[in-house]
Amino acid sequence: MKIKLIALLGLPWLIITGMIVGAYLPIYLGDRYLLPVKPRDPRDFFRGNYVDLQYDFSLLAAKDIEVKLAAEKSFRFGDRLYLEFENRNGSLKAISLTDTVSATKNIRLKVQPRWSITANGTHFDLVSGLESFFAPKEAAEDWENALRDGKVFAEVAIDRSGNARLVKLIKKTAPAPAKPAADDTEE
Amino acid sequence: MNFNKLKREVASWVEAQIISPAQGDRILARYNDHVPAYKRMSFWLQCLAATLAGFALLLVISKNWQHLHWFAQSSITLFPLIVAQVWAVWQERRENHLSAEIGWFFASIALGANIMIQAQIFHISAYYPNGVLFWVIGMLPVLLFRASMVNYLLAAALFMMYLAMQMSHYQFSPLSILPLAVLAWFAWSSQRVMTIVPLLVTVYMFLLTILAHWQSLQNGIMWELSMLLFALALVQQFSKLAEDWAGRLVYLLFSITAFLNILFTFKFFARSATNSADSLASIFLAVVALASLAVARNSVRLPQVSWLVVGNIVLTIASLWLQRLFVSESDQNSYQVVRIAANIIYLGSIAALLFRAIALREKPLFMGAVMAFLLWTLIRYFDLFANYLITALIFAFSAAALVLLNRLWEKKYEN
Repeated sequence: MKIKLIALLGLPWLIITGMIVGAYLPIYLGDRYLLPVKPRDPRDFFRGNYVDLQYDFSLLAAKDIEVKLAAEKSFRFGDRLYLEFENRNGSLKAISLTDTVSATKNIRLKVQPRWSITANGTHFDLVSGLESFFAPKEAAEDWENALRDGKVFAEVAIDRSGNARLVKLIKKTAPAPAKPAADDTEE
Repeated sequence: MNFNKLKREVASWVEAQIISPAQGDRILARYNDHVPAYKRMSFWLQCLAATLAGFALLLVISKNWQHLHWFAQSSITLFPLIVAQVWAVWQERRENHLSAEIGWFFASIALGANIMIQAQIFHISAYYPNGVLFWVIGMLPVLLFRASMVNYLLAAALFMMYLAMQMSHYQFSPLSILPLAVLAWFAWSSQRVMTIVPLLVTVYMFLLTILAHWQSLQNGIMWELSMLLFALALVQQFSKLAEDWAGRLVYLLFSITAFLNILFTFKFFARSATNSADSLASIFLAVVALASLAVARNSVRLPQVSWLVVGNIVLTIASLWLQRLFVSESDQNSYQVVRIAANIIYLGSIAALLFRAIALREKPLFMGAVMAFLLWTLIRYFDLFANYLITALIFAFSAAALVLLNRLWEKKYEN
């Protein structure tokens, strides 16, 4: 009887706690970077308005990076890949795309194909789970306007395993610094 | 039976020393589990109110409270969860099981709201099927330990939503076997139409999700026909399901099969069905369903209609194979084999139903079958719009058939 009651009351709390810990870990353990983004503004049924973000690495040309994917294998949404970055004067530059974690030496980010890719592809359409920034409707519209005025940057925490969490958006007209400055930000 | 009225009556019998208090308790215990709880309007109205309150909570979240501290934001949904759980436990202690069930139901909704607000705070991707999956898993203890029907319906609806999200991205998670197993166990335990129908839809979507993950979504019409056989075999396994509801489900499957027959009489659908390849999974599913029906042949519910559905599906599949394998390339374009077979199978099935209705003197079934026959005539009228003579022949044949049916019906009643 007691065990049933514990399961009834405890499992929801276990799920919520696990979710919060899992969501917060990359922020706690990871380093933070500013990545330029291009937003637009749809709505989620459960969570309200959000800004759908496109990063520089969301669509990569094969000629710009080193492709270390297994040949003759097709990767699709759900398959874990690693995008390796190099920190060049404070901004992250994607340098390689691989399907094995051991092939990365620098900063790595877990990504997956938006649809399907192969090693022979000319372009790689990738998603990382950092594409949705939830905000009140008015704020989401403001971010769209900010795009017209200048660049919008996303502050992203990435841990050593490649897990990442979107922390906040920052409006900036100047090139992005290594660490977020006290500009107009929204968490 | 009104349980509260019985309680009052038993108390008065004890007071008048007609029965002892112990006997009174035994009488009440006998009927305590048989209260037709779900037929009580107040319970369902309260469930509806809890659902609306849940929508309100989700809309409050959607407003987005990012200017508040994380804990303040989380409290918006944590507080209702705590209140709902405390309410449910308190009502259980008072043995007020219906109120407790509503409490667990709202706690389930509040759990989802908690998951969603954390996903919002941490900007977890808009495509977040795991959130819905965890939501369902969090509800499973209520299904396992409290046998709550309203929670089952919510869990089934959410699981279907999760499967649809997974299917659209060709994803499959082995963890999703857990909710399916609990939903199946619940449906098997209660054996009611309200549990079996969601289970059928869930199993259908679950199998499709697996096929989509292994890039085998091109199953053609064979998959739908196999699933109909599978659904029929599954319904037959629920031996405790009330006879009238089992019959309704079998008739529902018959209607879907007849509807497919009607579609195959048109060139467009006949072509689409003929040109779609049969997957191994579809054939395997059909064989499993047929084997299950064969094993349970002596206990099949509504046997005549059930075997009519089986015969209909098997003949339809045979006509598709015949069209593909034996019709020469030059004759392929008309898809005559499938179309003629579909007409014959449909009319044959309706005729069998009509004779069954006449034999059993079932007026609603008789009228339903007559309407199905008239529907076929009407559809042929539009299909053969310019073929005046053929359409005229069909109408004349239909008129004669109706007169004959009327004679048979009257004769049966006179005897």
